[in-house]
Amino acid sequence: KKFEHIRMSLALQPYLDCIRATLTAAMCLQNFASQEVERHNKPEVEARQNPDVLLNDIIVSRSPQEKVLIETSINSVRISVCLKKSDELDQILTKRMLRFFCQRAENFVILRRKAVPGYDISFLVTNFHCEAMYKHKLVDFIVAFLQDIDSEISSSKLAVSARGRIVANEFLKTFTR
Amino acid sequence: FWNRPHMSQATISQRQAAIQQALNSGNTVAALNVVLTNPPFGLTDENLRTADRKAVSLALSQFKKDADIQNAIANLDADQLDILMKYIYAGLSLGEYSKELLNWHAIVLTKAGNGSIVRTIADKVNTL
Repeated sequence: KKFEHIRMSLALQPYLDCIRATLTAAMCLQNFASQEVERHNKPEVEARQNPDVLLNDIIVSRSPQEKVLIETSINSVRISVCLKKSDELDQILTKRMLRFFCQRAENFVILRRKAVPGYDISFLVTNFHCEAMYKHKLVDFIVAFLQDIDSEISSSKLAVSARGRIVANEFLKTFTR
Repeated sequence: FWNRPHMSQATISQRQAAIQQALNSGNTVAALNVVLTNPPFGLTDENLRTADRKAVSLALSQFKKDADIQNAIANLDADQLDILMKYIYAGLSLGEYSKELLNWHAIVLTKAGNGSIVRTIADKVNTL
């Protein structure tokens, strides 16, 4: 079972390169006032009122469980990530770590407070973000996030296992002579 | 153009059979030609769409070497490269053959440029 995991994992770089290229193409955003409500400006990918301003969704997947959904519209892009969670410990750690980020979504600016259903975490980039920040830097941020999140979760997993082992050792020492 | 009839189950099965035949005889370039001629744009039936995408992903995954891929796309024009890019993303959304499709993506991107990705995202009529 352990070796199956190693055999199934693909190189990360082509996956990230594909996502970088797709994001660069998708983040061509411009201001677009809401057509439904006067004087309002909504991210169309969230409002979903007009099919005309929504573009095709793209899913880039590395495996059936690990994928990125990129939904574009005229003034906003929603990027949802589904991470690889091999076992239950992974699932718990992913959920906790990403919930930690999502609760501080204002500080991340482009993070969405709740992930799109079916995915672990979502980003929402609007035309205003693209105007205030460099587009290539935004793409860099998201790709760096994807690159580092896996290693962060596996190091948390190792830390949990190590702590568990130490605690169990200490506890069981009381039962040995 | 707007009155183009949707392809039926029969045409999709014919396409799948033609691709399978080309692959059985080991001729991957012929399979690619089947893929790029008369693709079923704008299919609404999800089952047919998935079947077509799976057949195309299979065909693309049979190209084992980078040199083979580069030779195959060397003589394609812009429209065919767009069709190819759309199929690459369609295959990536299914989740199988990711490694081969990501490889194809990198090579076709160098040839076709970022515009092909923009057209995949923006073209809502000729979806694959």
